[in-house]
Amino acid sequence: MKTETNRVGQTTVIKLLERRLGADKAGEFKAEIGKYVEAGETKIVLDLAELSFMDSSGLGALVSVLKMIGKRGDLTIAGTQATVQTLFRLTRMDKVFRSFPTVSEAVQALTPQDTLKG
Amino acid sequence: MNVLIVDDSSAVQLLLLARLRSWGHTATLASDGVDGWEKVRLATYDLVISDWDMPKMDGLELCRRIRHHSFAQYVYVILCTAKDQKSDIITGMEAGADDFITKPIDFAELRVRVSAAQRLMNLQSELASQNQNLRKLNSELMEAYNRIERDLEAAAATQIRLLPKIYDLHPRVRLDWLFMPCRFLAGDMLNYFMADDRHLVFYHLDVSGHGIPAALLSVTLSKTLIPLPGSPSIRSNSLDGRLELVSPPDVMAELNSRFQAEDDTYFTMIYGILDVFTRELRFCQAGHPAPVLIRRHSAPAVLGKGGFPVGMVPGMTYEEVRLEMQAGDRLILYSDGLSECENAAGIRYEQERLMEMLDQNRDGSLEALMNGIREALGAWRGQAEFADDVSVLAFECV
Repeated sequence: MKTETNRVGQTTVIKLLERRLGADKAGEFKAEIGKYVEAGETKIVLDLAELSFMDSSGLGALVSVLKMIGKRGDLTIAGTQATVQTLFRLTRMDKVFRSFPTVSEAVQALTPQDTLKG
Repeated sequence: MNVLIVDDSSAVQLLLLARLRSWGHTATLASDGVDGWEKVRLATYDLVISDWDMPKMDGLELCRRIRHHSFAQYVYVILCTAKDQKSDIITGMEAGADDFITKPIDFAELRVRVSAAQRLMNLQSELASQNQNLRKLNSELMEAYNRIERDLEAAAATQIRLLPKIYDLHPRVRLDWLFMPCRFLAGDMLNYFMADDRHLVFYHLDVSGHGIPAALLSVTLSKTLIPLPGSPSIRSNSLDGRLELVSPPDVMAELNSRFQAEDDTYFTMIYGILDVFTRELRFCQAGHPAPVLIRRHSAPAVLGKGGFPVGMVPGMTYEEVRLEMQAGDRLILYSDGLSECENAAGIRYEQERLMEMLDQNRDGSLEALMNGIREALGAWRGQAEFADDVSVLAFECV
């Protein structure tokens, strides 16, 4: 599982450098994101701009990552392509995940308002 | 070691015999190449010490024959020669000799050369015994693998038996389906039944992932959805206690609460009820690909706006889609194994191609349509195995 990580303030931006997220990569994906959650990261942006296909196992892994973070932090998604958006709409994941067109919007959604003012 | 001494001089033979015995080896004598060649095939020798120049057959020829013959184990060959030329050594090695000793024999030298042979032969016998162990393990693995494969085939056959067998449940509806599981065990399941004298209940579901866990869940769901008391599909009316059909969204919500999984397993599903007399259709789409409605005189259209998969997130509510079907209208449900089926170039079949295909085959029977889908997808895939289960459920109002 190839990823690229950036830090923006308190937020960790993980860019997925894969074009497909399917049954073969689902376990690896969970383990990879799990490392950041285990390390105590509570604000994570998943940049999926490179991802052109996700199947039902990939979606299961994504929800499992959200549940993993859900207890102690927050996760937003950035840059989904049309095929992934279609899957999100079909499965109503647009109601479960907060998804944004760009990384900066996804980061901002995780940033408390008073910090922005200050 | 068991040693064969080949020499035309009985004096040399006896000298070698005495030394080899004193070093703890057993030895047999042969008087020339022909005699040596006969003897070396009669017993198992670890080492052959042969003279080079001999009548009838020389040491070189004996060496070549030993190398070309297939013995149960390696035979180490030391050639004795008066020759000490580099070119002779090359000729000897080409014939397959492992080592050389020059005449007259220096026994101290011979002793270390025999020890070297011994080391190599020990190594080879160790390797042979390890190989034998590996072969044994390998055959045990193959046996276990074959047993698992047979069990999986039996499970797959059991699963296929759960699929509906009757296509003419009611004179006002025609049904058919297609089921092409990926390697052995499927996570797809479909079924339909008349819940009473006017309501056709149907469902089509796809458990995420493949293999035994997905198959077990699909079989469990198939059992859960049998319309017996306790099933999510029927309940007792609160007024008179009579059994009535539960609405599709409520069935889905109940399944969602019963099947919340600890791991990532979930399923997508369409569950629906058709009143065969009024042709009123109600269904709920839970993350499953949108069903396709083919009306008599219009292009195929997708229905529904999606919905949450089942068993993924607790406490979800589901929506119902209602419409009036007409005589001749068809409804096609399919799993994502169909739309996501990739050809050799990695291009997915996609809903659009399915819609076109359905439009082109709208005039034939349902059976012909199922065969058409099977053929179209087989041709698209270009190989016998599918990466995911492909299944279709179709019905037509009469």
